Amino acid sequence: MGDFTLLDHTADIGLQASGDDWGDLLRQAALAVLQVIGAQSETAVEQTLHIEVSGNDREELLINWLNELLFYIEVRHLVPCQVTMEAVAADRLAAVLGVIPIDAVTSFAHEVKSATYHRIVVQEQPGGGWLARVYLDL
Amino acid sequence: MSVKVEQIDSCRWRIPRQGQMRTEGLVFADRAMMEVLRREQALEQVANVATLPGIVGPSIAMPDIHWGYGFPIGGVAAFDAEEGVVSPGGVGYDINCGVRLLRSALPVAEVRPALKELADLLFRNIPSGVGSQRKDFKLTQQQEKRVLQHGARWAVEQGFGSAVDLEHIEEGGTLPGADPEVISERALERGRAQLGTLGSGNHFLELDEVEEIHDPVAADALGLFPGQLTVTIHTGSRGLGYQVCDESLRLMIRASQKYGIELPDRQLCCAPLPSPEARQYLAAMACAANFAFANRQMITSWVRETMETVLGLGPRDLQLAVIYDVCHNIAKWEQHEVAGRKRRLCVHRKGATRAFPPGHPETPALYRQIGQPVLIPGDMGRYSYVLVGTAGAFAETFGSTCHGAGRLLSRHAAKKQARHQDVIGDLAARGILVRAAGRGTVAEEIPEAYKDVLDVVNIVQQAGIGKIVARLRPLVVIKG
Repeated sequence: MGDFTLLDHTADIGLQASGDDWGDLLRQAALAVLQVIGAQSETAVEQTLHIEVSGNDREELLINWLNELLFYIEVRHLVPCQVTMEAVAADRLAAVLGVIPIDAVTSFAHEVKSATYHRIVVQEQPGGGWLARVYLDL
Repeated sequence: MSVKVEQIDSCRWRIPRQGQMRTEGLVFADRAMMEVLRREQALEQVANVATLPGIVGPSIAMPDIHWGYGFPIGGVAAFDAEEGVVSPGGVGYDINCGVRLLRSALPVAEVRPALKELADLLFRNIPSGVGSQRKDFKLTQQQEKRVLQHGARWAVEQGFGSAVDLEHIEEGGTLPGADPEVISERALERGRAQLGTLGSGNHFLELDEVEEIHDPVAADALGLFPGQLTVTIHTGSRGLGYQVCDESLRLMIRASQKYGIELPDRQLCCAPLPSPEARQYLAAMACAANFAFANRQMITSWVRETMETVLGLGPRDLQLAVIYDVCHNIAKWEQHEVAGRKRRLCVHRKGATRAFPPGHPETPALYRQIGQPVLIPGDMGRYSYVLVGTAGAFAETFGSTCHGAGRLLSRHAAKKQARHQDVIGDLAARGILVRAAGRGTVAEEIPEAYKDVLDVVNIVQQAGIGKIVARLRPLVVIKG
């Protein structure tokens, strides 16, 4: 299984995620964004959402995927706490998100404006697996 | 690329043309600031902007510069109407993030006993933080499109403020050229939920005290007096603006390929100004800008109501009036003289403020003798400044100056430094009440995370691209 680390930036924050495969990378990147948002709650997940995202290439797909998570929080007031990838390709994905209502969140760490294309890296690794680096505008 | 830099004078540095640069870079900074800048990527970003087609004059950076996405924060660049480009990276995600300053008729001494109550009620009444919205306020899609078309003027027509407010907002609170039909359903949906909200991060609402007057004549024209209670609002176009930027980046990445524009950084993606893609972006950007103007207008109205309630005063006694409202993330069509010739240019200001001189027709009539007001927030522990625009700025920086303090520490570094501090307690002991929605916000926004804004405005004044009028001290700080 892959993992992620958060990267320093003067005004914002970056993430570097790695995955054993493309789907694992997408999941790790999502978990990184959710860690940055930092929703705290005692409420258990009782609702799931099935979502589909597409993009013209892997970079665009990654950005669209991360921004989709922000959309659900900001507009639909549903906060993802669990991420399961169902199907992935280079230009599309389907995922199931375990969500809680925003009213069940006692505090957030950050509001993320957007995932950005700044110095974006999406690379298949020589030994297998994937690496991505994305900066988030806070 | 490691960028070569030459010192011009005590507050100016040149990045000579090198690599793919079409023009030189001009950085306003002192030696100490330049030492810091050399260690991060902001100078490289100034040089990258200079590679864009049709750039007129230098790629400019203000003394609050730090690295951003594409353009540096604190970046200014102007482009020729026919040969030049427009770039969403030169505006930013938070389109028309800006600052509004309000003055009251009251000395702080009269309201000091009520500051805590003001802090608590403002925090309750002005939505801030993730997912916040006013439950008593809902827009239809049709209404929202009118917001995007008319900006602050829409808000005034709905009863949020008066026509006098509009005379004291950049562009009269309505950027022309907006076309709501180019705004996606996704952007509309994000915006509808967030009109009238502050946001988070470095956005804030402050009650301030006029602590020192530097220019009595200008201060008098602005209606400022020592010890006066003022209000500062710093916010922008919220999720609608971010969505417009995100979608525009995709449009412009494809446009850059279509028009054969080589990019040193994907976030500098752009399109030629005469192209349909450029026109579409500018129409969408104007919509987002108008959303931000309306946002600050509505927040102003709720601030007025809240203060009148707490202080038991009517509007005629409180007299909370708009001094001015400025954009600091925007691209605008402006007329500038270049090499003796008047030219129509698309001026990008990303983390930079318009600073038009005395006598300019776009400076409000009330301020035409002194110059356009420029509002420069600092950090929450020290001070902010009010400046006016100058002829020097108009001649050298396309009528632009700095926008704030600029960050010094990363959020991680700031949190580490704040770990053993009682930030809110320390500020309260200094007479500054903080109310914050986000858990990380206060630690990440500690005063030490920012450059001293006095250093920034001193450079600007020394360089002649802004003139200091007054210093404001924070009393109440509301953050998301």
